[in-house]
Amino acid sequence: MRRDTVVGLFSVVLGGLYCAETLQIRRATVGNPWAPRVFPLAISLFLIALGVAVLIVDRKKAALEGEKKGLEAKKAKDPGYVKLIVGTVVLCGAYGFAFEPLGYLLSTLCFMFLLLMLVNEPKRWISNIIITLVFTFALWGTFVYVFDISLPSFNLESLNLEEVAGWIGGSV
Amino acid sequence: MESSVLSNLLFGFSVAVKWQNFGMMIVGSALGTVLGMLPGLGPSTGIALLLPLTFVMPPEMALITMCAVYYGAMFGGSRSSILLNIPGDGAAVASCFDGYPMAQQGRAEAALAISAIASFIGGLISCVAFVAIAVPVARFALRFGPPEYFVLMVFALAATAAISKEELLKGLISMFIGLMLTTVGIDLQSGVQRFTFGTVELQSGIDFVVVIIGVYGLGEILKEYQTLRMKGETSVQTKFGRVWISWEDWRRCWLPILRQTPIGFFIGVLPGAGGTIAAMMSYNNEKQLSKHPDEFGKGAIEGLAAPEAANNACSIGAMIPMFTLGVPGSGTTAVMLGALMIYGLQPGPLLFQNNPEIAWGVIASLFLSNVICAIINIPLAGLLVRVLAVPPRVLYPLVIGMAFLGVYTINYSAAEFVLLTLLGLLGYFMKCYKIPTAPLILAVVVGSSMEQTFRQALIMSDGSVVVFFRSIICNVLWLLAALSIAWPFISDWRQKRKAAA
Repeated sequence: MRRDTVVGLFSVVLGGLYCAETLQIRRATVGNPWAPRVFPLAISLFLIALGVAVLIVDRKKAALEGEKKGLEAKKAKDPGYVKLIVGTVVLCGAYGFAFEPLGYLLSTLCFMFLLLMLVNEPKRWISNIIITLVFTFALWGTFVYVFDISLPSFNLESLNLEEVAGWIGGSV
Repeated sequence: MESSVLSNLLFGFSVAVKWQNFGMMIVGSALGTVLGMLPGLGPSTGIALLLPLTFVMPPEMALITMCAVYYGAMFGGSRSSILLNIPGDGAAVASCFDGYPMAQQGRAEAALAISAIASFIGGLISCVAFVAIAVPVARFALRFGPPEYFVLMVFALAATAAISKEELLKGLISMFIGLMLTTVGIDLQSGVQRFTFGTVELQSGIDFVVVIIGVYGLGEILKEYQTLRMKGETSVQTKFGRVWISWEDWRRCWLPILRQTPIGFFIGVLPGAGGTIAAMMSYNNEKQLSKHPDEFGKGAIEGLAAPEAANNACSIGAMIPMFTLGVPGSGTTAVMLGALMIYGLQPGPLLFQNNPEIAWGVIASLFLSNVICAIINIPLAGLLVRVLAVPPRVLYPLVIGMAFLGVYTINYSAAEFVLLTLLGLLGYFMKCYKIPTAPLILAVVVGSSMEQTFRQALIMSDGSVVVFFRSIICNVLWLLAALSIAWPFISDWRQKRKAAA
């Protein structure tokens, strides 16, 4: 699919979903009851209109170019980049869930080491360990002693075990 | 210049030279230079990443630090252009054209020196212009009511979105996505919850810092992953002779520096145009004015000096709308404007009256940062460019780690980590599909005030939209907004006509 077709469709779908959600907003009890909806509604309509405009312009361009494929010069890409992106996103999500229950030190040590193993490759495991340790403890020292910001420490109670069990389909 | 301006400026210097502020200026300038050098991490990302760290500082120190980072990044952006032919940010693209050929010819020292000297002179002249212009503009802005502010923000957003004809529609889409993000949370005027999906964490809205770090920082890194392992190891020159220029070099450069500085400054004041346009325009201008245009692109020193001066002048000019009108003119100033709001300060004309220590302290710090950056970038060039040898495969995980910790310090909650990851994916999608991100960032910063002023204006007029055309200021701003949307088409038409003739 052409790049701008994706952008146009994305804008139309996003605008449509946003519009539907806007219509669900409760009426205000003070002032104009519709006031909280006006601005979002205008945004959603503009998004849909702009998406349609992008699609029309893109169709015209495609007709001019004779729907030739590969007209947009494609940059050479690393074949393993999808793995890097998916891996990073999964690790970032997991870090979010582990940060408060496991505490800064444990969660950051795991997160940074795994991220470096993914991006900097497992064959550099020694340097990955060193960088992880230096980064984690240097930032911890900076935040705690220089900026006087307390970072979470290990606290299993804040981990909702029932919720975790729900994710993995088991029971506590 | 009025005597009150001079006395205010002196007061600003007394704030800026306090040892804590001065120390942070040095740290900020050095950090900014390093961040500016690293490809993919421009000033916007750099300031966004460092922003949470400034929360523990008093407001004037935080702003001074951020300005120093911004300034340092403008100085540093050209280092990788000259030595690696890879611009640190968009504004440093023009510095590759002649900077890299100079380094190839064994004149890296002169290239590094002239880029810092031109940046210094461009910055210094612009600081003087800033002081002369800021107060009259701020006084004028006192006439603005909610309708004028709303239309001003429409103009700023339209000008940023409509950078080119090709990107106009996508720029506007980006802007509306940004505005959309600002509507999440409890509506300030009615108390109604909007788009929270029953989530407590979304009730206070999406913090703009999370959006900026996600879209600029994480999104950029995910995009860079596409070519990460193809770049190989970077080999960078780290041993230099005396970093300075000859008399002949200076003779060729002084006039280009002086004549391109006002152009850069003026472009900076205009919302949306930014450092890339300033640098490219000044490069092309200088090529047209030069007695030996054939040398451009082959290592002409004035081809490096002109965009560097314009680029720094532009960064100072861009602070004028932010400080005096409370409207950002670029992605980076949008981040700084957001920072002002975090400190509970009202950016705009009243900042000079209510918080002179901040307004004037920051202005004075621009002069001092300029000197500090020149000192850092000329004698310490050899030391600083060693950072360029850090491979991106090590650098990116460290930046991601910093980004998450920065986001944690906003609300001392890890709940926003998931949001940050999702916004990183949004940024990646936008970069892959060539949707400009600057309009989104600007919209995220001004979106909430834009809606508030829109609704306040409608309350003032009992719901009549005529209020948005009530004054000459409103009408002129509408005209400018329409002109900025139409300009890419007019410019395209003029070029075609010129080519046909």
